[in-house]
Amino acid sequence: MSLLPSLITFLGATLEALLVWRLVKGGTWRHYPFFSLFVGYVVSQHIALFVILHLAPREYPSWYWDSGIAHICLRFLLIWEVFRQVFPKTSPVHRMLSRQVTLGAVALITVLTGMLWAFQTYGSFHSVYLAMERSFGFVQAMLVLAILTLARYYQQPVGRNIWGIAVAFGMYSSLTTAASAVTDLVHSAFFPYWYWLSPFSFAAMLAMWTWAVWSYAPNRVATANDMIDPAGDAGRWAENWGRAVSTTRKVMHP
Amino acid sequence: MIQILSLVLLGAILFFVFLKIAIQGPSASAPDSSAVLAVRQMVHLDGLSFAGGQRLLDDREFQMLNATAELREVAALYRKERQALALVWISLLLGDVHGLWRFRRFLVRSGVPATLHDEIQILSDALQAMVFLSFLRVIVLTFGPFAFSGAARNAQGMVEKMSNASAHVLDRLPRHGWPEIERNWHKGLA
Repeated sequence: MSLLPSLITFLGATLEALLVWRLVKGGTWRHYPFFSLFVGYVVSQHIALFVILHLAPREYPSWYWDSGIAHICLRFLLIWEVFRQVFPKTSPVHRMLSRQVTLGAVALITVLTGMLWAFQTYGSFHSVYLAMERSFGFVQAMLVLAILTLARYYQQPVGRNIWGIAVAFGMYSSLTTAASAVTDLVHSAFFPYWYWLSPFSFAAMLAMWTWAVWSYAPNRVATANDMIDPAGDAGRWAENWGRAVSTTRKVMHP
Repeated sequence: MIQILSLVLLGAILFFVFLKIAIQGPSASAPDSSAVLAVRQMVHLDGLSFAGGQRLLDDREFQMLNATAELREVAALYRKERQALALVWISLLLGDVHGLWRFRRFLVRSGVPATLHDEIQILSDALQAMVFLSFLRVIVLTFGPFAFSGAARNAQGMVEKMSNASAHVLDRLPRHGWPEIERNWHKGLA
């Protein structure tokens, strides 16, 4: 049992190192800047926490929870990365959906803020972190699922990189939503499981991300053949019509 | 309390939804539409171009006729005709599979880059499609056209998968080389 924390730490550190190596190798990080920024935060957070644990152990809990809250908020970067990669600015679906998606995201964030305020009313356990984890986690999982569903609906091909990032993050967010809610319900009984479940699920997400970005596999970019250019078609039609009219005039008045 | 309980439930549901997506795996990138069209134009996929395959094996009209005692004879005739049509359609699909397989071998022989994994994949797809279509033919012959009404989509999907795989390979060639490929292909057929 005493080996388990060391095993998790070693596994997490190895996976983070592998992930950073794959992102840096071949410049993959340049293609996914928001994802790389989040990974960069995670790595620096863990290095900082490791240093604090050994240099100033008394400060460790406050640093742990504060950096954890920032971590939860920064996960929105991943959602933005998935959205902008699946529906780039040039895509017609982006133009059509951007307003609705923004409205949906604002509505969901409003709901989660309401849910967050309500945490003070819970009888058993008051933890801002757990309240944030479950409400933000739920909204983030819903947003990722919505993007993947829209991509499927519009038959937008999703490359391995973004697919892996989105699905791993969705699984992790939904799992932490359920786990942190259960912890709040039956705190004493579930807390030992949550203590292991949280880092293990995070390590699983890191493993899936490493697999996803192992080689650069972006989404297929729509070619000129896939796009309909109504302005171009109208222009060609007008040109042909003009020629037809001038030919008719020439025939009628030679 | 209800809010936390609902989040436990929603979190669990979402997790299983994502797990299902993860098991399905990333969608294979669709080939370029012009390559798909070019393959269909070169190989003449008669079975795949027939849009009514699903309707052909659908038993709703037969059941409607069969439900009325006076129309039972008509229903039997209808079933027999449908059986003949379904067999013709399955033969056309089998022809498509053979054509696509041959076209794929022709592309590789012509120097289109392909890996061994690609070749094993297409071989496996072709064998699967042929076994499935032969099995479907036996089923239609033995039990009639409506015994496996859901199989039409699977049959078409298998041939479409092979067509897309060929389109992927063709897409690796520069577009200006496609007419020459088409000419050589038809020359080889003649």
